[in-house]
Amino acid sequence: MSDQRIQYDEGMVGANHPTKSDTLNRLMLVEHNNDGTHDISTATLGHLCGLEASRKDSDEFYLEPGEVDIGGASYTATAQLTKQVSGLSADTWYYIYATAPSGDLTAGDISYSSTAPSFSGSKVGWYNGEDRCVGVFKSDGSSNILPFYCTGGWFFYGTLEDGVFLDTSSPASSKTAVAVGAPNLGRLAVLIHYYCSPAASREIAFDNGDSSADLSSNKYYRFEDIGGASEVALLTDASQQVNYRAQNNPSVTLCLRGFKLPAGMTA
Amino acid sequence: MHAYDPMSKELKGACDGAQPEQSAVWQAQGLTVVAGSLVPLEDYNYLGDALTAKTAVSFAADKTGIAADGLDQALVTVSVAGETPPASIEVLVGDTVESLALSAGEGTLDPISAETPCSIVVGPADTVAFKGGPLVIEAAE
Repeated sequence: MSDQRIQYDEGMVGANHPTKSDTLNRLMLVEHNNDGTHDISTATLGHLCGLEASRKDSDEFYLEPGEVDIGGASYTATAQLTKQVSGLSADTWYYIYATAPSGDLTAGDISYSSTAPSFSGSKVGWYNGEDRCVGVFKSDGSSNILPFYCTGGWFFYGTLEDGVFLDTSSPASSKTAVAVGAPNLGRLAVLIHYYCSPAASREIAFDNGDSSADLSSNKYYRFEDIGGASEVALLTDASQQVNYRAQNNPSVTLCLRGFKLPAGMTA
Repeated sequence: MHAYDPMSKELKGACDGAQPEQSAVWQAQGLTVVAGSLVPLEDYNYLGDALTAKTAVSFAADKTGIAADGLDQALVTVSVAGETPPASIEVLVGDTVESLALSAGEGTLDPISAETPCSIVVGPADTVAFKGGPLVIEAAE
């Protein structure tokens, strides 16, 4: 950007002159509105910093202090927020929404819904109407909030067993898609924990959700002569599915440890 | 979603929500697939064609190590939980199935001994209806 300062050979002209350009306010107006506030429409539209969610107890969750752009204006939570929930359905993903407040962001401006957001390209964030989604949580079979932490842009279950999505002594011997039990946020990077009962020649293989491979060669996430547990990072398809295949009939348990929150929902 | 063996009624698989491709795999294996929530396979069966919690059975020994001399013995007590426990239970002792009469859900197996060093595994013979054990008696020189 060129030098915006008023120069010695320019006239001093204020705003709204009928024929001359405003020189006095020119420098101030760089990335600022006429009232002096920051113009985030060009600089920081869609930004989200902090506001990481975590479970407090069975019917409350925290949002850490942070700042978020909602519909083109920036709002701040200056302290940790505690949100009370009620009326949850069992075994359901909930999406945490922030509504544009009149001042700072408070717990009263936070809501939750089982309705998934969609990504707004114009607002650069995940929205349901005018409300911006800033995180997710899941309820258990008794409609309580499951232990969880959002940190570093990742969602993690607090307890490994809460993420189990497949437990079987009759696994698939050919490539089979399974939904990992993640929220409806499109394609996700996921961390899968697996257990495979030990025995010689038993194996298990994985690939991303959109893979067209049969998972029978070493080009895939293939583990042979294994026993016990390990983890593999995969990419789901748009329906939050990955592919697996097990040979020689081991018992298999697959668990979603966590997933990377998508762009527009990460701090 | 649950998958169980229609003959033995053993719960063979459970998954979170409807999983069409996994369901097709199980059906191809001859398993019966029904709706259901994620539950531990080791805790349930489909006896009576409905999800049923396995009956818990516990094993307690006066000692878990014996001398492999044919003389030293371990006494194993079997306890079956529930308000209406069965009158008897079949118990696997090593490679042998022993039918044990129960009184108020409890009974004691014949004394266990061994003439050579070995591990003797004690557990329910019917692992579809019962869960518990195994208890291991080590016979050493």
